[in-house]
Amino acid sequence: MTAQTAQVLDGSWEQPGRNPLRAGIAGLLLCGALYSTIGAIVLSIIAAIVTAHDPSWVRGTGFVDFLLGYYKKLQVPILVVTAVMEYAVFLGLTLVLVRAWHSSRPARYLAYTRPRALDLVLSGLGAITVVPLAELLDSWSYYLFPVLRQLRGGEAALLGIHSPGQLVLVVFAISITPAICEEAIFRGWLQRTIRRRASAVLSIVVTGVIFALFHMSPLSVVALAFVGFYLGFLFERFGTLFASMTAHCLYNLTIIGLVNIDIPWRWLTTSSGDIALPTQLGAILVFALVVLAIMVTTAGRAHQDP
Amino acid sequence: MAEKKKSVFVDLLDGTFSMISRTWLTSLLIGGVLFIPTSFLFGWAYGAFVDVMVRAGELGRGEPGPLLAAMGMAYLWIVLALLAQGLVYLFVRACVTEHTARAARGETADTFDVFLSVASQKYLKLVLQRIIQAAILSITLGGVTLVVSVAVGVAAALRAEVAAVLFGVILGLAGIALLVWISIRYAVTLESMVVDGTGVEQSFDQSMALVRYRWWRVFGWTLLFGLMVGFASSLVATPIVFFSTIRQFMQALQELMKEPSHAESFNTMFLKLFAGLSRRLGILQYVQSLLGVFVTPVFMTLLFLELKKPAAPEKGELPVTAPETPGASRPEARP
Repeated sequence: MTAQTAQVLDGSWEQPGRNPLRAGIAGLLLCGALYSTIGAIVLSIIAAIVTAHDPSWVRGTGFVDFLLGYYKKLQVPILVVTAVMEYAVFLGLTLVLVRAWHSSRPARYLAYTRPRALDLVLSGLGAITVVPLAELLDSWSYYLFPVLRQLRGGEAALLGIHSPGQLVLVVFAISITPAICEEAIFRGWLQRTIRRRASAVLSIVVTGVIFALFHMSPLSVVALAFVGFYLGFLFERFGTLFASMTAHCLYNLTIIGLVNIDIPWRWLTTSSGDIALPTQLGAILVFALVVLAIMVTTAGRAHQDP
Repeated sequence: MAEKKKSVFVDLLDGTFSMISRTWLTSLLIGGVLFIPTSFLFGWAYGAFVDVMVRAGELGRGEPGPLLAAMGMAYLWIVLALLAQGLVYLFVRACVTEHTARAARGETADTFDVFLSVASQKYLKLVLQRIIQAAILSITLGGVTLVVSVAVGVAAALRAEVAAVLFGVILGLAGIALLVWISIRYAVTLESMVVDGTGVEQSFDQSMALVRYRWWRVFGWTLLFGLMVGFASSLVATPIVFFSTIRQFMQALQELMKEPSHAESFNTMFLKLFAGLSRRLGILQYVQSLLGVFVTPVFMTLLFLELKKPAAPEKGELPVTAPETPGASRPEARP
């Protein structure tokens, strides 16, 4: 650690005898607990009020109808509450706690440093190729339990875009917000803090696994961990949060696009709407090339500590 | 460089993380062994209850006696399982508290010594204290329920429906606030008995006195810590719960997807699917109980020691010391 770095680490958890790694874990648990508890309470209240006002959507003919009705009726509140909670807790509280616990210059600690254009291009390209790979990792659940395919309508209803207003809201809440907020807490705070005491691989793996567990979606945990590893890899190699933010944003944007756009090229998807195997194999190849390009372009750069 | 203001909550969290590296063996050995029979009893009792519910139609044909007897037995086993689980949890928590207090005083703490000390000198008093504390909270809850019921009943009798709802909500919230207030005032009774060796009555006095002027802080710290532990536990438990019951979960989904005319009622379906899961329920209960005793007793002990520290004096003010409790020994309270 350089002398310049030491000057910035003046928070209460940076005092001698204290392990800053504990601050990362404690902060993550605190933010996660507040995010899930307050979010669940607020959404439950909104759902109760909406249902009391118009109970017709609950009287569906089956579970799928109920699920679709729920997401259609509550799409706006779910997206707004999620976005507000992400900004308040994952970004706002993270900045406050990093400032109090680690450094009086939280933006620098979280690595909001100026990126190079090529870094962002490579990060984004890699993120788009990660989508088919993540779907491949997710596909085991559909093979084992075909019943899950019928629930895909719920995701489509939540991410569905039928008006310019919905376009703005969905892109803002699902693509831009998680990229800004989740990257601050996971890569900027947790991975950066773990990296101060551990190897690059360990910091990427631990952060990626925690990132996957945080989504509380057990069936997708492998795919989410893979996405987390990629985002962690970008943060480690480029040393700037903007690289993983760009990748996260484009990854989510691609998913929104796949849900909402009818892809005209038949070779890209199967008849059931899954991404076709040749496309997935092609994505693996491009992904490998992007990773190689990132390794090559960052080979000569010194690792940047906070 | 100006020194940052010290945060007590940060001290407590950091101290907890640090202390767990010294107390984990006690949590693991004592909790790991003692939670086995009680967790499986718990799982078995719930499994037996679900089995009775599944067979309710068959048992209820003709005379109601066999159904009532079977349900009574199932409930009895659940109560016994909960009681056993509670008693074991109290013992393990006391052991970890004792270990934490000894380590905080700089003494070497051996798991076996801690076990013997709690078992031979403190456990029975702790059980008595918990019974009294539960009784106080139950009486308060009963009183609150009675007051709310009377107020709502009178308002309803006078055909003042809006007033009845308002009375119900306001008095109900006031009752909850009263229960929370009492619970926080009694937050460190267990620690008082284990760490300072106070008697039952003194433990209430000491906890009330220590929390008295710091109620909001203790409330905030314990709430935040509780949320964090709950969230950490759910991060670990959610995949375990999900993957251990995945087949039942998918069958339930399959059933839900059917047209309503072909689907069984949700209750019947749920009961059928989850009958025979007693062993898995036991494992889940075991994991959750064990996770709980690693951190909560350590944090509460450090909080107790923190509350006992003399408050830092403001400018021109004499230092305030923690109130003395008759019969309490005075250990060095430095984690």
